[in-house]
Amino acid sequence: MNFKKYLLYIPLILAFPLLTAFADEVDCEDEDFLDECAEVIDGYKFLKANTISIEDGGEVEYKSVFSKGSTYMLTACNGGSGLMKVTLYDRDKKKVMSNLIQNQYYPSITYPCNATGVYYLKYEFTAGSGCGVGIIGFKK
Amino acid sequence: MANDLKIGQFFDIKTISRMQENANNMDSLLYISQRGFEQMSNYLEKQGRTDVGAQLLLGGWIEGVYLATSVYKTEPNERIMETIGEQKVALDEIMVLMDAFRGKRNFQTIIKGFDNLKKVYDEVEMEYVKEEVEMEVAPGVFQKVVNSKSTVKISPEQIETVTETIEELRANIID
Repeated sequence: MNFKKYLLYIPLILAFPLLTAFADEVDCEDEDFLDECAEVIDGYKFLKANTISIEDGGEVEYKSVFSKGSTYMLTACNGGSGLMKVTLYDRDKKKVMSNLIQNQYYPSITYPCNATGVYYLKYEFTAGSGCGVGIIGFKK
Repeated sequence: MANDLKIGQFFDIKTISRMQENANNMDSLLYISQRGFEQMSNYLEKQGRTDVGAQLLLGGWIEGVYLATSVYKTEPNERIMETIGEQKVALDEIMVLMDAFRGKRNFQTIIKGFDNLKKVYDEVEMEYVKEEVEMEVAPGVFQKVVNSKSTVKISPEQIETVTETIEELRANIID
């Protein structure tokens, strides 16, 4: 058996975990990453991109004014292995909806708005740290 | 103007070419321009020039309300009337932002104008009714959500006062 032939593959095998680790790391501020994430809102008009960076089970909150008569699409797009959860709250900070419904995860959800007002969007990761982008799209 | 504000780099050849390529696609144009504004805003924040970012935001809002009131003058209708009234919500948020710049000399004209506008909008009423409804939140996925309905009460006389106040504010900035 020619072991020399297999020796050639060793560096590749050793490098594999390193390569996949880099593949998991995403630059969430990168425009290409954002452009890719924005493709999800096809059919909706782009309103805002909330960039998220969370460490150790924290959360980030943004607020936006939503208008009556528009339907909003909320997306959660992130690199790495975790899931980014987005929860929508109304002006009284009462929960309206989230993209984690009965343990089922949805990368995007829609909300037909009947009340103009300030809405709060809370972003968090289901486990640990991570970064991502939450895009808000709308249509009349 | 962009160069004077030292944000000329956001109006580069690449962005302009991208806009030209997408000239017939309104969704793409909106995406490119909105992203450009976000980048500018982030840049100004990092540079410690939040006052310029705030002025850009305020200018955009004033122009939007000015256009809405101009349309109402020529074609008055319920929908645009409601949109003008609903600006009460945005104005309340703007006033919070404005408080951070009350001590700045270059904000005095704009603050005076916004204070006048706030007085007009304080008379505009917004009502909310809450209900829990089942809603399709993702394709084929239904969820019970808290949904509320809003109504705005604004009279033609109030619209007229908003129009006059916003025109005065806009003129003072331009002059």
